[in-house]
Formats: sequence, C-alpha cells, structure tokens
Amino acid sequence: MKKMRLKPILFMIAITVIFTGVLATINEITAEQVELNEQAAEQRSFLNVVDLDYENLTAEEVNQLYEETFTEITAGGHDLFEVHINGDLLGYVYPMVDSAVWGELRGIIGIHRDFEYLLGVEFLSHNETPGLGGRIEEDEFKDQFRELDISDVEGDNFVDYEGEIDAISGATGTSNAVRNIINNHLYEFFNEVKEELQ
Amino acid sequence: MIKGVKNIFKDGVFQDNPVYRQILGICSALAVTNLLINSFAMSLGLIFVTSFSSLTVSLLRNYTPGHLRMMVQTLIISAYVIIVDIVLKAYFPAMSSALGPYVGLIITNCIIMGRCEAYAQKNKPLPSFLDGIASGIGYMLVLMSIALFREFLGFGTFFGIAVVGDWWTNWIFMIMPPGAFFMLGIILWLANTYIPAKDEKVGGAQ
Repeated sequence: MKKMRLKPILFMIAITVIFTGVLATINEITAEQVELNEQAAEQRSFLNVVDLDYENLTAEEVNQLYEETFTEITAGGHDLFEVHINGDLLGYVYPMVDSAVWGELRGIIGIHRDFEYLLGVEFLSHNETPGLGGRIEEDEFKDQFRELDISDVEGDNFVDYEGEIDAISGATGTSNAVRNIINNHLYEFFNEVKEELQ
Repeated sequence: MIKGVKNIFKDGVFQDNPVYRQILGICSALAVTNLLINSFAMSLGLIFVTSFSSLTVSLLRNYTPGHLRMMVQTLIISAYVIIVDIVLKAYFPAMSSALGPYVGLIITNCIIMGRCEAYAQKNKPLPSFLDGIASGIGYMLVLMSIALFREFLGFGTFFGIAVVGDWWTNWIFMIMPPGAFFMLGIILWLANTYIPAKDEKVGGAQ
C-alpha cells in the first residue's frame, strides 16, 4: 500500500488558511466603503434620472437630497418611487430589471406625473461589452430619453429607433434589448401600476 | 547586481517580451485595448499581481512540495487579484465599474503563472519581484501601443480627449475584437522583424 503523505496536505491547508485569512481581513476593512460607494452611485443615478444636479455635492449631501426627493411606495403589486421636488410631486421612478445580451440589466425610468412624457432613463448595472453595448450608460444615449413624449403611444411601442431615439451603432443586440426592457416595463407601469396611483 | 537588474528588464520588456515573444496574455490584449485608459489600468493591475505573485512564490519556493507548486501558484495569484479587485471597488469605484469583469480575469493571464513557473520558482525573491515588474511593463508596452491605434481610429480620441474634428469617421471595426487581431498581428510582425530575440545578435548574418 502506498504511504499516505501528510505533509503536502498540511502545507496546502496552512497556506489556504493564511491567504483566505488575509483576504477576509481586507474584505472586512473595506466592506463599509464598498457599500457606501455602491449606495452613492445608485443615489446619483436616481438624482440624474429626474435631472437634479449633484455635481458639487458630497456623498452625505447626495444622500440627504435623495432622502428628500424619493419615497418608496407600492402600487399594483410593484415597488416604485414617488419623486417630490420642494414638496411638489414631479413624477415617478419605476425600476426595471431583465436580461440584456450578456446578462442582467438593472435600471430606472422616470415618468412625469401627467404620464405624458418620460423624465429620463438610467442604468444601474449591466454586463454589456465596454465600448459597444456598454455605451448605453453614456449621456449621449441616455439624454435622448429626457422629455420623450409618450402621450399618443399605442400598445407597448414607447421606444423605437425610427424616430427621436438613435440606437448605438455596432451594438444592435444591446440596443434592441434595452428597447424591449423599457417598453415592457412602461407597458407594465401603464397597465398595472398607473390606476393605483393617486 | 546592476547588470543583472538591467538584463531582467531588457528581457522582460523587449527581448523576451511576454506578449509579442512568448505570445502570452493575448486574451486580455485583445479584450481591453479599445480604450487607452482601460489598457493602462489593466496593465497596472497586472504589474502589481505579477510582481507580488512572483515575490511570494519565490519566498515559498523552498518550502513548497514540487508537485503542489502549481496549486500554490494559482492560490497566490488569485489572492492578489482579489486584493486588486477589492481595493478598486473601495477606493476607485469609477475605475472598477469601467473595467468591470476584466479585473477578475487578470487571474487567467498566462503571463503571471508563466513568470512564477519559469522564473520565480528558481530564483531569489528580489530578482523575481523585479522580473514580475519587467514582464508587466513589457505587457503594458504592447497593450498601450495597440490601444493607441485602436482608440484613435475607433473613437478619434487619446485617453478620451478628442484630437480630431467632426470630419473624422470612426472605424467601428477597430473598437470590435477583430480590430485587435489585426493590430496585434501587425505588432507581432514588426517586433519579430526589428527587435532581436535573446539568442540572436542585432543584424546577425545568417
């Protein structure tokens, strides 16, 4: 019978424990900062979707402005946010999540209180190719949705690439996925959520 | 000692360059080179991981059982890559989201394991560390030259700053992976024509 050698096993266990320990420590030290960053990035996206300026604000001021502006509510079985600017209702922010070309895409749509035009669109996270589909997060693409008129839309054809909005050249797949996600969620909003809102 | 250091850098950066001579690290050379800033950050990450992995492998080389060395190397490399990922996420969130999945993919870069296996496993810690830096710089050199042309032709910019007017038509082709294949091919061709390999003399008569 072959002799069982213990040394390599112990060596491997020891070195794994040491390295995992170091990583766990670093992770523990930075966890709070990482969470703050993620929260701040998400709050900036929310402020951006309703076109509020946050350029010169610190993370804390962003957080404060976010708390003042957005109130989470539930309507028609869906979670969404009410947007109040200086106490007046400006509109709603509706979250969207679905799979795009390379993975899950999370975003938010801002809808004006009259339901006649969009406030804007933001993407919170996605896995599209940098430089191609990833360009959906550039202002040039997103700004096309600002004040997009949706008052006389039939069915779910809110966004197409034949009129006011240009797709991203070289990223047809992502552009189409984004169009479908936005259209589906707006359709859902108008059919299941809108009636429940005051 | 000085001469040794000079040779390490001469080999790593030019004569034995990991990309155009050893044909390692090609995947990321194709993937991240459509923007200079991404290539730069990727290269810094790689320099860090290669140098410290080589250092650690070299420190442990006399205690590591021979048949386990690759497992140990992989463990060390992945630990450093995770450190890079965490530090970027915590202190450079913008860069972290720009690089996305590519940071994690430093793990799969063959240059790192190549240097651990070929150099650090047989040499002292300090030369191994420098060898890692040298190879990383060699990698950076190639990535930046590919990215320079891809970003300029594909977006008309250098580091995101527009250098040409509205008349410029972007070469979408250069942004996409095939553009990288062509640029890499051209660089391999030029390098193998004009930069002598380790054993050849400059302009050596055949």
